[in-house]
Amino acid sequence: MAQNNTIRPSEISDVLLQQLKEIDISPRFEEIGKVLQVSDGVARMYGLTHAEAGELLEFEGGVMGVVMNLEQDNVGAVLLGPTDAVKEGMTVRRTGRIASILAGEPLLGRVVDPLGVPLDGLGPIEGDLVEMPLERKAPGVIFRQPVCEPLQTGLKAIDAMIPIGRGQRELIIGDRQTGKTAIAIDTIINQRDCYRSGQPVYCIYVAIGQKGSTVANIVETLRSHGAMDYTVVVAATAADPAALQYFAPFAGAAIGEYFRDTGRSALVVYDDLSKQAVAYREVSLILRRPSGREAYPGDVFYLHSRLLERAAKIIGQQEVAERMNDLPASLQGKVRAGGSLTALPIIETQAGDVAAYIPTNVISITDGQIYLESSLFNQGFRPAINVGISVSRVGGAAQVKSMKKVAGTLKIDQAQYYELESFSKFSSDLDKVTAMALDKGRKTNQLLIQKQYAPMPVGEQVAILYCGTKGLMRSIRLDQVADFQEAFLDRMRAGHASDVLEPLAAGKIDDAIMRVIEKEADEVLISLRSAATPEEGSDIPEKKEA
Amino acid sequence: MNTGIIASRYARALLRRVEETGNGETVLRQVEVLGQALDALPEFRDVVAERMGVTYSQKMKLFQAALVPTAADAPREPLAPELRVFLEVLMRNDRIGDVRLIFHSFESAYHRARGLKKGTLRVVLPSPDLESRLRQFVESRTGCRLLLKTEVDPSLIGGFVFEIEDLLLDASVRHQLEIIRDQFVERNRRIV
Repeated sequence: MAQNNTIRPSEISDVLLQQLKEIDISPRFEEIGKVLQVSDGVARMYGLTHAEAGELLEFEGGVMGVVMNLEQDNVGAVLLGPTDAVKEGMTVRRTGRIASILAGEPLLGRVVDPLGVPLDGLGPIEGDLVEMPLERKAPGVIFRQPVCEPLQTGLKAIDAMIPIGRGQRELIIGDRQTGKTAIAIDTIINQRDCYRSGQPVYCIYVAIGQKGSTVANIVETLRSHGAMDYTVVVAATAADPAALQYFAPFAGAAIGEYFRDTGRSALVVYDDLSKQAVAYREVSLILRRPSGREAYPGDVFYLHSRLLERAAKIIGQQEVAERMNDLPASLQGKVRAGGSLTALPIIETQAGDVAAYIPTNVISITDGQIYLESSLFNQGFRPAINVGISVSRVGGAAQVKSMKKVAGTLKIDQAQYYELESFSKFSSDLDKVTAMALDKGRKTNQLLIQKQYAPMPVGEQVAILYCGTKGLMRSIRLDQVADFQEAFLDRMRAGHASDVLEPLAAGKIDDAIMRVIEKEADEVLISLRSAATPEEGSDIPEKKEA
Repeated sequence: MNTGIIASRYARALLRRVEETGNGETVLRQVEVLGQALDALPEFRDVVAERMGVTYSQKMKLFQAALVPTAADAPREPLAPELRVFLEVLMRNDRIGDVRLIFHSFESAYHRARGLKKGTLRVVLPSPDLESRLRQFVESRTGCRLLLKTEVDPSLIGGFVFEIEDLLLDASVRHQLEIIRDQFVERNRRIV
């Protein structure tokens, strides 16, 4: 690691001398204990009679631990470092502090562990940092306001039918390898435009129990798309102790709260909470806490509910926001109203079982869920969202008006299409109306397919979805939908960025804009039809003019 | 989660037994030696806690062997009868795995019952004056007699470290230098 030889203004001898004079070195009695037993990331200590729950302890050699069990004559603590660094008979001191992480702008672009230690090899994190507690009460009811501002994911299927708002908790749930992380990463990448425009949504990606190589790939993907400028990655990989995996989401929430409480918007992705629950189960069983269903401790619901409640939209009144409950001392005087913290927790199901213990817990906590299915993924529908059972409880309040107008009935239309699709498998003759509905549904489905790492601005989404919902593609084949989309969007970007796309992104849609969209769609259809061979035609005959 | 309650109950039972027999000092000394052996040797702890494959008599032999004599030519003393019976009870009740915590509880309870406080003083050079002042300090504040053990530790550089039950007073030069370093780094990190 290269040494920083730049001399800072603070390094004047008089300033340094003053600092030395202010340092308090007077000895004082500290409470200590002796390690009785240590195994599997948990240590049991004798002594520490006044230790408090959640307090940080310091072992000889510098390993830290957090008090989890307060029992008669002994204290149980989880270790936040390697178990083999702590031996029986070692002395352990109370620190009088609770576990916390230093948060601030210098964290952006960095990869850290749940205690804030950098993992990316880019040197120590320097700059103005604020100590944020890992465990903190969620804002009370009076310090919140309803979610009203959209968080654009850049994914048509989500922004149109399952819109997410700033301050909402939207669960992403599905089996392994169904694209859960891909949705989260695309959402983070899509915030680049906000960052460029000067109103950033700061992103925190929390990797819990994942492979180190996976985390490295994600960081590289974010970096290559310019997303690391406004993103912090908190990593507790599979090689880390269970205690660190347990604390990782809280560290992410603490960093997000720094931005939230200073009036900015933040997004935190917990990938994934199933692994955090497993880590918590491991720690609790070693601490001999009573186990419940599926051997999880009885408070596993509280584990997730207290974490996810910290995602909120803060009230816009400054004088009320300043009196927020449980405000850390480090944030006094820095609170700004109107901030938000959006949470995208991820849960992995086994064989599609959303009725299992942990999934049902988290579904009941969050403000909606995005359900991903393996069958849709394998059929090529990616993102593999089952819109029938996916829901956003915030709904249209988190959509721009133009999207609401264009895609307001899209979810119901697609649900009806799926019903008709299954019905049509048993019918040989279909009436014209049913055939048209099926054709429109299939083509809209094709429109909703989107490549990974290609989030779409909301203006373009509204424009292309207008084509789908108004049936403008009825005269082309199903396999021409992707070409239609590409050509249409190219034309819109080239010729109508300011008069159509920008107003649509701002929420405005009127007859003039709709006429432009229809005109451009017609032009693209003509070019596609003329490129087709004479034998080829559309799936259904064109409607003849009277 | 009931380990502490269980340990304190067994410790109280042993305390009452030694008060009846009057053999408290011997039992306390042997408990301290066995406790240090359990701390120092993970294998000893593992074998003692083993439920299958190691018999009661084999475990008792291990406990006996752990009573290392204080001098090279001193005879190996047998386990005090009260302690031997106590260990058998622990094994029979399947509580031998908690023996370390039970020993800690017993030591604390024994000292408390006799108005004693156990302390350790680590210094760079022995200082009878310092020891006397610490005894007066403790006895005036707690009303208990201080059993003080002094160790020499040159790594302290200067000053002393005084440990009494679960309190630690680190007035060593080494610790003060560590405080200066940590607070210095902490302050300078915040300056842009």
